[in-house]
Amino acid sequence: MSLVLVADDDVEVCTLVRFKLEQLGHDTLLAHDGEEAMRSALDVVPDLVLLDWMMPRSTGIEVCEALRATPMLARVPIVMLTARARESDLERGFAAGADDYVTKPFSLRELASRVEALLERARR
Amino acid sequence: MSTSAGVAVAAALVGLVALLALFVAVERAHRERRTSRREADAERLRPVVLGALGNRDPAVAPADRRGPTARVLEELAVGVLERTRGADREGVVAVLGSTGALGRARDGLDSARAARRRHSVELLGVAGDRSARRLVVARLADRDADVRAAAARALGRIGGPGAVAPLMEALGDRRVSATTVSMALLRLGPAAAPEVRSHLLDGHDPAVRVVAADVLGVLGDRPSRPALEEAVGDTAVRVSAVRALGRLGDPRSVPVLLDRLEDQLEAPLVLFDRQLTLTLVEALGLVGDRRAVGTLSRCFGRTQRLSQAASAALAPMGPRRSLRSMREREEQERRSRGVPVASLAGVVRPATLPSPRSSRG
Repeated sequence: MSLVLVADDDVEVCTLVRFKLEQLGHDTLLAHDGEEAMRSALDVVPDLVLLDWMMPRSTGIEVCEALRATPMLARVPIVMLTARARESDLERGFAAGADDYVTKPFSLRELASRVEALLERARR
Repeated sequence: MSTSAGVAVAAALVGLVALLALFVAVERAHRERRTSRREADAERLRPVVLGALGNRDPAVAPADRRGPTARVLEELAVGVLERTRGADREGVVAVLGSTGALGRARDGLDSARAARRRHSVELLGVAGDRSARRLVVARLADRDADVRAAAARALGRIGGPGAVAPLMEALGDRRVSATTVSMALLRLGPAAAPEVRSHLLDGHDPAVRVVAADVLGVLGDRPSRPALEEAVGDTAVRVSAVRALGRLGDPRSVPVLLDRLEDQLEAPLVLFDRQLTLTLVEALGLVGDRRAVGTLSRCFGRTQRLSQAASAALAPMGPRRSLRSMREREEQERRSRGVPVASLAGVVRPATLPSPRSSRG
């Protein structure tokens, strides 16, 4: 069982993702803006972070960069979950330190597979 | 007016105000009760809708398939469908089917009320109901502009072969805006690219060809490169075609883009197209091929906007190469016309740049 931090200002997306991850046996922690996401990550040190790009206060990219710059969180896998689907957006997401990138609207099954694969890799 | 009559009027007014206040209070209490019942229903039914994800036979109680609870179910299902894609959605669509929402939506397409027609077409789109495609296409000719736009968006969601032509036809007839059609086409995804390409080549309306070029570029459809290169010669479409080629980033397009840029740089002022030139510079920057360095460096000193665009385009190609090219160009300009060339601000480190004074030979 792992702890996944889900940061998205869309409550429905948080609910959907939480439902799927809990079905898989993971614990989830929700955050609805960038600052809350950063605070929560520092508090609990999650096993994986799912980040929306466009959030109030700090964007997902800013949070991603901040996580990578924080030694205790630098190795936590990060998945960007965003509506920004252009090639340059993907590049920017990966350059900021994301490990994977999923575009909205998303397949819950696909997201779950990616999360499981990253968690598995992190455990090794 | 006598005193007693005045008292009677005042009493009537007080009574009226009291009645009005009572009515407002009752209405408010009623609304609050409805809202809290709705929230309770949503809380109870959310697991049903979420449980339907990946489950083709969702467990919806018969009592929840009717009345206000059915509407709550529908709202929850729409919320999930709008945010998800893939096979998991089928169970959620089945929830909509179980409440009769999809059947009502089909009936609602012929409603006299535009709001109902729009809601119906949106619901069929969100559900991705392919069997309703013909009905949705018919709404592209609706008398209400919002319904037509909703139909275009719905068609983008429903997808499948044959979705492109009606969208392009609606655009050509100015029934739906270029932005709405572009978004719908992008939603159709790469599978629609061959059909979109045929509209770029054969579309009679310039607006259709422009949208086709832009969409192919955003989709990154590499097989469209020759068609887009051909479209660079089409005055109505050339800016979009160049932008699309930049997005494709294929080095094979560089000669075509360079030819056009050189034409523009040598064109007399009356024929100079600033928008096209800027787009060409940006496209060459996106492609990032070093064959473009020489021509891009000729853009300095023309206009501030063009110099900035050229700087941005040259920057990723490497400072050493850009600097050498700039110096060569500067020398050439100095010899031929004595016109100074703007510095490559931001492209190379300041220490490696010649001082502005020394560059004004």
